[in-house]
Amino acid sequence: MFGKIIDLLEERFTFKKSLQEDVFEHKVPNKLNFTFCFGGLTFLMFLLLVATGIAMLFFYVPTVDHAFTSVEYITFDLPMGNVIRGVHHWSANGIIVFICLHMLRVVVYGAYKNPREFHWISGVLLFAVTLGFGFTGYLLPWDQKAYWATNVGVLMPKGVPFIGDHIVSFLMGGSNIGALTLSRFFALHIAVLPLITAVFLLAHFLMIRRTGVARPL
Amino acid sequence: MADEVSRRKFLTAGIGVISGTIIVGLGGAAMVSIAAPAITNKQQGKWVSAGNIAELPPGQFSQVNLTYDAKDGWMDGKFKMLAYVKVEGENISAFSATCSHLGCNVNYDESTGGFKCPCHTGMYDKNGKNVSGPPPHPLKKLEAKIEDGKLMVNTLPKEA
Amino acid sequence: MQDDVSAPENGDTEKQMIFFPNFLFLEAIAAIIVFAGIVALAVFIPMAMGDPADPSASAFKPKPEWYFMSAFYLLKLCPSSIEIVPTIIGPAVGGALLMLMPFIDKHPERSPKKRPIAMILTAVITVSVVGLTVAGIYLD
Repeated sequence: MFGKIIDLLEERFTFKKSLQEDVFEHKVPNKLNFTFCFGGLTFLMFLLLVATGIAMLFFYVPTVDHAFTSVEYITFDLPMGNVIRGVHHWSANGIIVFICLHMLRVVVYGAYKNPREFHWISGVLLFAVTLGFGFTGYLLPWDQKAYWATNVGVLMPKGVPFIGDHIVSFLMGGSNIGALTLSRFFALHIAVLPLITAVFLLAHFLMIRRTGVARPL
Repeated sequence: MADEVSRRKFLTAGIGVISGTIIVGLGGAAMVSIAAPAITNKQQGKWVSAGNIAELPPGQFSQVNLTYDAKDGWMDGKFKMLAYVKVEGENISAFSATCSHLGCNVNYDESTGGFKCPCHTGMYDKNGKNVSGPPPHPLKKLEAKIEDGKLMVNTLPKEA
Repeated sequence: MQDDVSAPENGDTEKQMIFFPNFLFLEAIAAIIVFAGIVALAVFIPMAMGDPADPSASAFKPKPEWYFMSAFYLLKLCPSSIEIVPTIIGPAVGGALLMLMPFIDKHPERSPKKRPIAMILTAVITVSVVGLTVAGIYLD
């Protein structure tokens, strides 16, 4: 029964062949050590962040009068809520650590060189997006730490010649940190940045399929 | 054959123009609405009481919390801000506590009689002038007046 | 364009292994260890709540997350006249250089032992970022 459905789907999508060639029989160098796991671990962190993030999205409310209490509810009242939020928190820290280790490994092995220049560029962009996730996510609980760290961060572009003040009010959604700041950080955190991540992640993975992992030295 | 090529070119250009129009139109509309609050969501100054004159120690700075209602995007928000006020006979000075560097609230510094920012140790003197550290401008002055024995402060800093 | 660049680059017949399941098993072992660590942290260090945001709070000293700490501490160390360096020029130029690295360091040599300049630069940058982060956390 199940096999039949698979066969019918295979007829329409021919995914078995692609999976066979691109995943199962894909060759990697023989002498890979544990440092080659950092990329995969970064991806694991990303998956944990997506899963726990979606779980919290069922309860979190991005408004200045309810953000704090809804995070409080997740943290103290919701069964397993503290674990979900904790995994999100620690994975958010872990993803930065693993990105840094992954990048260091790539630099030491010179793996960013031809033909893998664009793997590196998409990776640097992913790192920048990850920092964007960190910055926007930090505001969402709307506690003192969140408010004041955002206050400092959001004013940094003030020094840009000519348009500095406009960048600041664009980020804040007005002349002060308030309801619109919270809702735009929320939109960035759960919709815009994940979409950008998905695009660059797909590119990153497809390219490494194509060129293979750089041979260890 | 030549006809076929120019027809193909025409169709290609048509597809390009149509999809370009849709993308630019939709993206532009979205971008306008996303960027608009940066211009429209500006706060109006409000006169709020900073306390009774009799209760403020004369000749020295008091830290006051100003609370006021104002529109915040789509909601009626409650805003809070921190200010320093000093009444010395006829002279009233009032400063917003917001550091001109990166927006932290400054503290009154007893040793100098001025203000000190906890974030990057920027220093201001008793006139709110930036004297050392990273702050690029003085503390913003607030308009203040006495009404019925109360010190009234305008929440919107005067443009320097 | 070579069809399979992962094939031995010098023409020597190097042994290869299949991604699935050979390498993925190694990856899975690493994943379960890290996953257990993350869950353990989440269970044994429960998340807390600070106080609700209060723009009128005096003397609240913002501490950024540790991964922004190096930049934050650099901002504190720099005099105001060159503040634009740590806030804008630094990140912009640093990010651009990082991104363009494959085009700056084009020599095909990959062995770290034969790339002393790249390795020394990497070490210097790593040590200064870690140093600024640690200094920011403990001295600030």
